[in-house]
Amino acid sequence: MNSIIETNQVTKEFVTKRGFLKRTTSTTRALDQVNVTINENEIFGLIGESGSGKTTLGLAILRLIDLNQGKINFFGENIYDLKKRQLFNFREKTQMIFQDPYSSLNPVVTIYKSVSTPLKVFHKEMSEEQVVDKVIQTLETVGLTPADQFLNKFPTQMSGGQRQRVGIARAVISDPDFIVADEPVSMLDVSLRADILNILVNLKLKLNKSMMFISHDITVTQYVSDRIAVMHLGQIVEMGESGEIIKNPLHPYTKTLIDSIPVPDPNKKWNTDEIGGQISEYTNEGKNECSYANKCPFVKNVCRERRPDFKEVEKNHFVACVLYD
Amino acid sequence: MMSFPLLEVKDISVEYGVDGKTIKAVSHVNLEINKGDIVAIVGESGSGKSTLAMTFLNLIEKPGRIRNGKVNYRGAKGVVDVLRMRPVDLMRYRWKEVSMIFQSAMNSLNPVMRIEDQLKDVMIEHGTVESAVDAKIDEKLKLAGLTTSVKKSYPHELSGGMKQRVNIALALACDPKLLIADEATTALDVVVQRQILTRLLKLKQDLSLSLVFITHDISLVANIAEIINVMYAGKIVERASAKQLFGNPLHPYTEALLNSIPTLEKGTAIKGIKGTPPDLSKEIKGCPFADRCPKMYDRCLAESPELKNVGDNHYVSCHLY
Ligand SMILES: Nc1ncnc2c1ncn2[C@@H]1O[C@H](COP(=O)(O)OP(=O)(O)OP(=O)(O)O)[C@@H](O)[C@H]1O
Ligand SMILES: Nc1ncnc2c1ncn2[C@@H]1O[C@H](COP(=O)(O)OP(=O)(O)O)[C@@H](O)[C@H]1O
Ligand code: SF4
Ligand code: SF4
Ligand SMILES: [Mg+2]
Ligand SMILES: [Mg+2]
Repeated sequence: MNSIIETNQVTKEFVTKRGFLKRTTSTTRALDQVNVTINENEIFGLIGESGSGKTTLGLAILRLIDLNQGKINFFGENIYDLKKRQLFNFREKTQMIFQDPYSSLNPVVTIYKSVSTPLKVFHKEMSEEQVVDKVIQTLETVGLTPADQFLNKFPTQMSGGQRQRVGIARAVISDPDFIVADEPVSMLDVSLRADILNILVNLKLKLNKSMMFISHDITVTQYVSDRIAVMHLGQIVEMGESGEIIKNPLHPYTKTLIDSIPVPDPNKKWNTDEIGGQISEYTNEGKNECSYANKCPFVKNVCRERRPDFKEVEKNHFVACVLYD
Repeated sequence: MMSFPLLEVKDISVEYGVDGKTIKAVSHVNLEINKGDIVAIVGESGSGKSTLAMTFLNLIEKPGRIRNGKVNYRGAKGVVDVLRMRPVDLMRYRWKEVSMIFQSAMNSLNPVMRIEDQLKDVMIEHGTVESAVDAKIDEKLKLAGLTTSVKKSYPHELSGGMKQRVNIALALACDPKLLIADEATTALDVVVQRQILTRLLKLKQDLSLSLVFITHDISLVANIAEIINVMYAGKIVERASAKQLFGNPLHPYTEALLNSIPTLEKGTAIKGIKGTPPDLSKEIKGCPFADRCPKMYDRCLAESPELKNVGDNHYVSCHLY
């Protein structure tokens, strides 16, 4: 298997100026020494708590932000070393699908214009006629048929599911090798969701694309992904084949995540007594301890003394937790 | 004892005029919300959930138009029709009596204002005394599952889910009696979602907060709502207690919705509901679900079913009953 993306000790800190006169600053480590490999023709699922750094990792892999440390290889080349021409090629070969179909499209730009933009940037040699043909063909791939009826529409005239299809069309029209899909279905209801997920899976199966699928929803993620990585406070705490992560979660955080999936049973009403627990501290200040130590029911002294190693405890199943030392 | 509803929606219809066509987004809906109720509205995208909820706050704007109906609110001074309120009263009503967390509100925060200032503005404007503001900001942020350190942040410094939680804090800023949550937790992971919702449930217990919970995630609703309304093509097609609805769903659309709940079992496909909802700009003769309904028969095409009580306050709009 060939890797398309390889991150090496990727760390990203956000420094924000606080107090009056902006003299004090605070630092959030959104990505903390992240190492992941995404294979060619693979859908790599990334799940985790809200604010854990998923979007930031997606942006880093597409070189849409700068890093504090680490490198990211795309087909073996560090994308942060790319110079102008190469960077332009990299931009053509990578794309992003955004979370919110309600705001990711410019409301005053027609569907034709927004979907054709990547071609106008990367394929200036194409004639207007060729561009129109390609747009129509792409809209049809994502199930917007008959495509010519959509060309002159504005996003406000379309439903959420249709808008998300436009977002996908725009992302695949330049024939990228790698796509980051950031929560592509979380704003959509079940019936629209199924169609969009199938379109994404078909991008892999029929067009051999590779993808990072970001979601906070493990149910949806396991449906599309070959492997899943679980993120917590900027660190990958578990990674493995998706069926294995669901059947045999090892990290205490992954277990909580799976146990908290709502069960549609009206006899199991949520109990307000369970509130007690503290609210997550959403910042990682780079402390030398397990990032889950403050919430973990199994916490021991050693968990606060050092970071647990990220290691393979079963074949292709990695976890960072002292319980598996 | 006879209880008077806190909010009573009577025969409300809303249309949108687009491209010379009239979209009937909400048609003749009746709904009651009692003090301390948790009422859910579920249904596919485009079924009219958000439009209906916006009428509770008299927020329908062009190209939308309320065709007919009333929204009666029982406040300190008796019952008033929200749709006929004076603008000054409406302003007070909107944050202090009834407030709403909007769908896609994630991007509605003011980008150049710190979170604390946005909360402060709303609080001061609605009569919170200056000296109490700071403590109240902390309280509301915690309630929404955020640490107080986000106070000093600007929206772009927060993740999608964190922004969504700021909106929850904002909606709670003036201690409303009724909170409408339109897809308010869709961007959150299950752990955080559960933390926030149990806190809202606690508010309901302690302060008799009433909640209208709008979502497409029907499995979530089972765990929190008492009464569930299923909406389809601008109408309520079934209304029942959570126990009745999950134990004995009557409407074929409700059944299809329940069957489309995704499960964790590997290999099971994520199922949608076959077909698409009807075009709301066209006159619908008969049952709006007819062309997707596996149980459809002649009468369904000829006659439109009414929402009726089939016993035990279980309402359904289908000719089979
Ligand atoms: N531009 C920025 N400036 C400062 N802090 C930022 C910025 N972008 C992200 N952060 C911080 O980095 C952390 C990770 O954010 P990120 O958006 O990657 O989370 P996420 O996992 O995508 O969460 P969600 O599921 O809620 O979208 C958060 O603490 C966030 O506040
Ligand atoms: N501002 C608007 N302008 C025109 N049509 C609208 C507007 N808002 C909603 N609609 C239409 O009204 C119908 C109901 O929409 P909505 O209330 O948003 O449904 P839901 O919240 O259930 O997804 C849809 O057909 C939608 O396209
Ligand atoms: S290392 Fe310790 S604190 Fe961290 S997850 Fe494992 S047991 Fe819990
Ligand atoms: S009225 Fe007829 S078409 Fe409509 S839901 Fe009932 S059986 Fe199906
Ligand atoms: Mg995100
Ligand atoms: Mg809506």
